[in-house]
Amino acid sequence: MFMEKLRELYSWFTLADYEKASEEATKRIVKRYIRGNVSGQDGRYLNEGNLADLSARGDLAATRLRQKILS
Amino acid sequence: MSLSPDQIRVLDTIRDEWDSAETDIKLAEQVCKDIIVPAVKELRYAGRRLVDLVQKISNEPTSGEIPKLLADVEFDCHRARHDAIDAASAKIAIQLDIMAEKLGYDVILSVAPEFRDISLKVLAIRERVLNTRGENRKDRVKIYAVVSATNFKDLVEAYELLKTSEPIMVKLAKLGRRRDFYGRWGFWVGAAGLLIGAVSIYLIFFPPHSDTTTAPTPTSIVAPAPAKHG
Repeated sequence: MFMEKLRELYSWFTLADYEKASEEATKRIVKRYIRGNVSGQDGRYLNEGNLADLSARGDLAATRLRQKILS
Repeated sequence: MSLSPDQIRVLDTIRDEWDSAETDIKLAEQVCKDIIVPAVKELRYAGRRLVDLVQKISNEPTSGEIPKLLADVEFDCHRARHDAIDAASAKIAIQLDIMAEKLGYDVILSVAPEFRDISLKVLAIRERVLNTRGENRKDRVKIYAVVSATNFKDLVEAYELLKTSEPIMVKLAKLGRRRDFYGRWGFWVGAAGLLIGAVSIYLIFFPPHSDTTTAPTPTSIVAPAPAKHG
């Protein structure tokens, strides 16, 4: 409880609460208007950053897999 | 607006590329369970260029910009496919690595002998994708190398088939882990029993000597009763 209040205070102090509210509102609107796609309606999507991250993890996994398969 | 046979042929090519891009984006979404936004954005850029192209063909049919726009549309479609293939192949590589790590080859190969083939296909794709990082993303030849040499649909189908066997693999792996666990505990329980048995036999044949020089019992130090007088 105390920690939660502390976190709220920190968010207010750094204005992170504004950013979060804005992001959530955007997500809510996108989810409402994205028709014909279940993934989109569930808010599941990969943006550029997520794709780069997934790709980097894929390269690491491929390196490990290569060692396992070809050794 | 009338199009020359060459222009019609190019538009046909674009339609085919667009279809392929849409198919690959859907396949990638099926694998990742996420919309691959960068791939969709590339198609959006292609759409914008297509509008410009149609306008140019309509207004200035001899413009030198037409072949450039056509090439751009085609390249945007390739990049869309590239992003979809990048996302899905990364996801498949991660999943195969986890399977090999956590389930073990004996379980995987007994249920899905095609595991090695799928792994080799994914590794080949990842190698090509790796060559298109950074500045190479603008390299049409390298991007095309990824999309042209990849039978993405077959890979996704093989992967989905492998995933259908996953529950069986998980059950077998669970059984294996239990067997392994009980096997190890059985060994330690047996070893402890053997030790206790050996100690018991030793104690039976070589009982410990009882010590006779013990301290006086409480009764021996009780003061004698006083003698009665008279």
